[in-house]
Amino acid sequence: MNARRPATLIRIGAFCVIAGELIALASQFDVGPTPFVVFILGGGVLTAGGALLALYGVLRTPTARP
Amino acid sequence: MLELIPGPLIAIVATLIGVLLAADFLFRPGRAKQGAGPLVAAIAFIAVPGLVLTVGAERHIGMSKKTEFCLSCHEMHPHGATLLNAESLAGKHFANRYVPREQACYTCHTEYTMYGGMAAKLKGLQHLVVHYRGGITDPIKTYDPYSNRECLHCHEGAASFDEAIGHGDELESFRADKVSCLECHKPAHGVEAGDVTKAYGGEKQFELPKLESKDGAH
Repeated sequence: MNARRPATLIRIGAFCVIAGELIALASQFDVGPTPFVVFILGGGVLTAGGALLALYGVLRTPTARP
Repeated sequence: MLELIPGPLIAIVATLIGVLLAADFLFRPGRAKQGAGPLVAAIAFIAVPGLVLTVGAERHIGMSKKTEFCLSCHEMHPHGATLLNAESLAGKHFANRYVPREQACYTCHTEYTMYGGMAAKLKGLQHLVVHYRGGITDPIKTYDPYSNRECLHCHEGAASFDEAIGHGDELESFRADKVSCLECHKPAHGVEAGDVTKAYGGEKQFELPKLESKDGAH
């Protein structure tokens, strides 16, 4: 698997977005500083990083010919 | 309108949509430039994650105002225990419901100014850093001297305040913070020196108030 291929970038990015969103959701069911930090570092950073990676992959994907 | 829908429901639905859209790209990355692919990608990787994180941040900020949040740190247990001590100022406020019990700490330890809520959040982040890095002072001290403004926000103009001996004559001094409310109404908490260290190290258990919350999030 070539990590520089657009499809691979989209896959990795999408996986990070899914993981980040699930972590962000799970962190909301407990009260305290640790869930808050998990939300910021786990949810926020993973989701934002994954989304940027996936969008970069989308931009690098060649346009499909009809 | 959004306030009518429970916070957890919005978070769950937004996350579910986000996961499904992202999963589509996980298994079919080739569709990124086919048909409506770019539009769906923008929704999956910009709009929905933005919504999920905004809803989550709003819920976490709401939860950070709760007494339960503050007392989830061991070093705050001695202060939490004073809510049950009616001799302390904090205990009087808690026992008489002068403050909402679910937000007892936040109600007195926020600033009643235009950006007071934001300042309280930034201080909260500072608390997090101190909590995880250590270096907690014993006894715990506020970053700035406690301002009478926070007391007067509720008490000024109240019959019990106006009728109390000495309040009327000194009102301007109170407003200007020349005379602290705590000079007469002490102790604010009455935490003994050494208790914070004992609580942080798990050496001593403190009895904490039972808090009943009407809403799981706020």
